[in-house]
Amino acid sequence: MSNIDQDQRTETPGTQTGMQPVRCTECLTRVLVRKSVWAQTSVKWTEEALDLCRERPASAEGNLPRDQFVGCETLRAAIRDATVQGSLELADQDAP
Amino acid sequence: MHMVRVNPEQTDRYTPQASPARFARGWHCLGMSRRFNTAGAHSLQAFGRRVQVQSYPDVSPRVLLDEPGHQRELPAFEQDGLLFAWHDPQENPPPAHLSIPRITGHDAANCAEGPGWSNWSWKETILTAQTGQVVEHLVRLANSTHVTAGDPLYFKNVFEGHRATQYFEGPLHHSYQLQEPAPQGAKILLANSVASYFGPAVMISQLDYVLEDRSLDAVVLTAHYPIDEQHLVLMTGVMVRTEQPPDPELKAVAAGHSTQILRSITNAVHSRLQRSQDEDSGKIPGADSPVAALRRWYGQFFVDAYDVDSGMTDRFEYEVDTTMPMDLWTRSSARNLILRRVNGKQLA
Repeated sequence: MSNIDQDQRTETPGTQTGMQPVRCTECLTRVLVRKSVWAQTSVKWTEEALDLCRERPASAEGNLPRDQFVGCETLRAAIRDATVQGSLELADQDAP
Repeated sequence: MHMVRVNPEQTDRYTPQASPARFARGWHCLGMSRRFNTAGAHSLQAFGRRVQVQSYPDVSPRVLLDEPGHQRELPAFEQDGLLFAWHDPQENPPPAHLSIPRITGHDAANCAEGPGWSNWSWKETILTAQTGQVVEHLVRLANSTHVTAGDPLYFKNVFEGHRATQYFEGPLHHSYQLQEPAPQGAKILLANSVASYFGPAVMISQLDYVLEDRSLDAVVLTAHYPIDEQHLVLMTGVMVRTEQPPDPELKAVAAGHSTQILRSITNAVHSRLQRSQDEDSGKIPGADSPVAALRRWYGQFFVDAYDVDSGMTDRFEYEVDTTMPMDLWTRSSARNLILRRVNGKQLA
């Protein structure tokens, strides 16, 4: 199963910046992602996408820096796998 | 470039500009509250106006902004030994969810047993710069000289609502190392830090430093307030976790580190101002870059509250992680654990 919606790519705001939609494998939330190289990832959330995330409500959140929600690990894995499978393209193809 | 290290009481000599500039909406730190503790009026220049801090015995100080023809009182409070004031051009009261978190918690400084927090080691300086140029420091770490190429590194910026957070784990660049360490002072080998701006002007950093001979647990507060459009007061305070009574060596480390952080930010702002006058001037950062994300986020504090839109406040993450190369990921147990949980079966 691919984590990426190929058919919606052209219609999604943000694609002009090279961002591609990726679905989380856990909750089917959809975010916009840009990976310039393997080690670099940008993720743009919407309010609706945040509401769908199942990992966030399960984490104890506070206001101090170390108590905040760092990010969804399941989504992180989904983005890495989409990259390995080739369905999420690296924006900077020439870089290692 | 004009930069002087002064006692902030002397900032009166800057005459605010006549044109009505717009200054950020949000909580601003005006400095250590003990500076304002003596009864009477203390004046400083901020937000293009004269600000008077009126102190009384046993009550919180009042912060008054001189407007043409009248004085406006700014909401203010003391916390962790610091004085904060709420500035809003629309003069609305501060929403509760924008409050600055308490740093010391309930195990505060002077508990009788076990480690507590040292007092602030506090430094202030005046910069000829705009506030946004100081705030950009938060995102410049990933692709700057702070990071030595090839070192394993985890770096992440998260923007959401009124908060902007930076995660960093890796070797500390030499510009942050103590330049005049205590005689037995040790080099910082590894830093793990999480820092958040709470609104436009107050940043709290929680730091773990691994030194050659021990680890150091510190909190750094970095804050600024505008004097006028072209000048600002930049402040850094460092608290370290220490046994009580405080270890004198740790106090020296905190004082040295406070100076070093102030110097490092100041130098970074200066060199960036210099660079932007040279080759960078024509470049517009890509919309997915952390600089662009920071500028979108920072913009929310300069429009009316009604005009804040989701593009300024929606969650945006920018991550650089060199600790998990692709080939390691494809055969890692971390990946399998996550995917097994997701798919409910063991993967080949």
